[in-house]
Amino acid sequence: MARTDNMVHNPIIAAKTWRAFQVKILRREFGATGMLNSGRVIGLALFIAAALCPFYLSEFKVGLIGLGLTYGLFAVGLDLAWGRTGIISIGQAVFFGLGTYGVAVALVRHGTALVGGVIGVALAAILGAFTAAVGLRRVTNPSTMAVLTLAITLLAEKVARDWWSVTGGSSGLYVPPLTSTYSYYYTCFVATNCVVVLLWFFVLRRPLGNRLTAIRLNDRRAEHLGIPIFRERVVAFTLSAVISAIAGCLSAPWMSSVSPDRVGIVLSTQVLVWVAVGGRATLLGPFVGAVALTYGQDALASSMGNSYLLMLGVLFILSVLLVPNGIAGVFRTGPQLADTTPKGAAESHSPRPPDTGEVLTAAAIVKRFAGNTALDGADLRVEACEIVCLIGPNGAGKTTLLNILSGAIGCDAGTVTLRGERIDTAPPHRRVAAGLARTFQIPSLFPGLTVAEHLILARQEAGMAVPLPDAYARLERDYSGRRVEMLSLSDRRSLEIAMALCSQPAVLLLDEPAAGLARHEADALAKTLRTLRDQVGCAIVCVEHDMEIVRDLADRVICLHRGRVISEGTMDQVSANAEVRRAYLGLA
Amino acid sequence: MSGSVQILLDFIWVSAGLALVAFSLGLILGELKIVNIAQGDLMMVGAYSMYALRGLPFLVALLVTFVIGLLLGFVLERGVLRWVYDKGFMATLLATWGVGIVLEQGVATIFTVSQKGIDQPLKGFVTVGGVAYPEYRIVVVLGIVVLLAILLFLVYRSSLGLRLRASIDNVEMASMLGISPQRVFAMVFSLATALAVLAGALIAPTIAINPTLGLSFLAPAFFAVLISKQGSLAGPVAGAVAVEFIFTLLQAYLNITVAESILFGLLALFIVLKPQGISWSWKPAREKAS
Repeated sequence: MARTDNMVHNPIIAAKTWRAFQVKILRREFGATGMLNSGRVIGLALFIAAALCPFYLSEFKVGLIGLGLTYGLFAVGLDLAWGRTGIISIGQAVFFGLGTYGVAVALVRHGTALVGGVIGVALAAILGAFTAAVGLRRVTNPSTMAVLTLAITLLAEKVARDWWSVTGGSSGLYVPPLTSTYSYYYTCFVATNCVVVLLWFFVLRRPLGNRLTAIRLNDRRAEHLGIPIFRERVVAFTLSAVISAIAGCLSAPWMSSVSPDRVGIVLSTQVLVWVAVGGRATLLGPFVGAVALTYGQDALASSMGNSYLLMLGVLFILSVLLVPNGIAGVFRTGPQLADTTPKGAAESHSPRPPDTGEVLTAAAIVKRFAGNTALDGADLRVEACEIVCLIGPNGAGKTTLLNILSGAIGCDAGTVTLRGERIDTAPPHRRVAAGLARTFQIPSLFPGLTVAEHLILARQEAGMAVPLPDAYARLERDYSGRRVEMLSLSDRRSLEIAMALCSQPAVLLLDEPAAGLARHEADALAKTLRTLRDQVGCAIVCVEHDMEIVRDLADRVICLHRGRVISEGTMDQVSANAEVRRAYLGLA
Repeated sequence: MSGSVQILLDFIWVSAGLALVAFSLGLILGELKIVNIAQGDLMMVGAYSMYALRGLPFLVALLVTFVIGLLLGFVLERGVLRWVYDKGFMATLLATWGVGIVLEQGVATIFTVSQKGIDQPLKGFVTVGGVAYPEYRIVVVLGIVVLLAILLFLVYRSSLGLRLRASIDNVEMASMLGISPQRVFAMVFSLATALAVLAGALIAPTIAINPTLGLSFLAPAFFAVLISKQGSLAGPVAGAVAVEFIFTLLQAYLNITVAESILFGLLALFIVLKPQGISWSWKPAREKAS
């Protein structure tokens, strides 16, 4: 406490702290060795070229670059939704146009441009949040968002054409010409950079940025790590609408007239092309795409006319087919995630108080899939630190039960209680917060991320960085820089368990942890899991087909058949049960 | 009285055209899991094909246009879509988006952007309930109804349709049973493209033809698909009628842009309430095991 006071009141120490902070930021952004990757070198060169362009380009060309910059910011907005989070928006121009019209209406009516701009941005935020809230729910089809955004842009263009009194109809609003191109260019340049810097430091390099990447790469894994995917998607889409609207505000003075095509489908198309060609999930790509194509359009459109747009369409298809990562994607070498591992939290965070008694109870669970009853009143009780194995013939409902416990699917009837808390209607991320973690039958990881990045995500979501048990620390030690595609199946399974352990769960759900493992790996698994249970102090519910492992692993075995529990007890008791034998032999 | 008959006839006319487009859109979404944004532009291609072939007898031109549609669909599926199936939903959507741009601009380059028109092959009027209604529209509506009836019959009652529905339900499983997904995909996309082209061709004599004409059909057609359960083939047809019914009602009292805004609002509300769409009660009879 005393140290903090010192820092605030003593200017020398304050300056030193600020210096240390700067060094820390530089280290973090450019790597400990100060090495720059090729993408950053090019980015810096382009930044300088853009900053100095009034000194070597004609006034007209400077205006073009200025417009290109605002389009670039618009594309950055789209990229936040599309490139980073994986939300499709084919009507992004609506948000841009709201900003543009906001400023234009204010200018035409001799009001303050700032007020008009703020109103435009606010409307964009509201519309963005509304669209996302309707179209991005867990149960909604992915096509819904595409249709909604398309419909909005078509509709907005018509409204802009029809609403004469405000928008001036088809001919649009005439914006007073700029007094000085150069000074407005620098206003634009600075404003654009401010937005990008804020985005970088307050979204992309924060846990939120990592979450968005996680959602894009594998939304199911993301929500079972504890990420509230619906909320974060809505946040991302709203932010993307806001950034696009700010770009729209900045662009208004560059245009002689603001007409309905500013909210329409052609501009929505163009921004998709800019991002696709420039490079998704990068900061430089959208700017490169937007400036290059805006500049190119002016140079070529007069000579080529419609064929320019035709060429743009072909370019777009080719870039989707051949260079899915765009121009900037060729250069980028940096990591995809920011290191957000909570620091020093391991000591300060007291371990979870040990549970006693029943930690997980599922009662009378019923689940039907279109008339086919998968679970028909199944019950399950798990004591603290107990290892329960679920067995049963194929189609017995084991994985369905696991999915209902973890919240991947809802149940038609019945209750699930975790440590005294009803969770049967809670989405998966709440259940994770309440102390549940799971793995999948086919390991579900984030394609393209390294082992270290997976653990960064898991620890970020857990809010603490507890050391992993020995059997799993190996992964972090030996393979931390390796992408998960390069891992063996057993290592991928281990990584999934390691991620689950980061949240110190009270109950760990495992879906066939031994499937596909070699014999010696499978043999080691039972021992590893029992040790793990003793070290971490969590209960384990495990679906498993391999009876050898079940015998070694389980404290208690539950046999499911046709969606009901038919036998429960030790392995020997269950295997001696006549009904179980009938179920397995198919005589029932 | 005659006013409401007029509205009713117009409603039937627009729903028939939309139903055909929505059916083809639903076919592509169901089988290929692709949101085909180029569908409106395919209609536009149909209209321009009729314009280019205006020297030929109408039915011949229609047939040639249908064949052009089949070929176009085949080329697009083989040339573009096939390469992006494994890149996910977003890539396929963007690919069709690109195809749409290319079609629109290609047509604009060949035919210029100025509006075109073609003559209606049937110039007479039929008096229905005191309203003289163009003979052509009535014939086209009947034609589309028959065509959709045949298509739905084939889908739900023929072995080809059974294969198609099996493939929509589960591509991997169907391919295990010897239904080649490549062939079904190519076939479905060609057929769906040809149907959209045909819809455009049939509407062509009644509208002003321009390169962006498809856009106005795109949103309602998607609404129709969205409110029906994904994978259902009869659903989009019923959805098209429902969407046009609501839209006709709204339009009878309101300005068209206001009507469209309300329609959009209703759609948003619908998605919140029924995110998976309605399963229309038109259920196929149980297949005989064979």
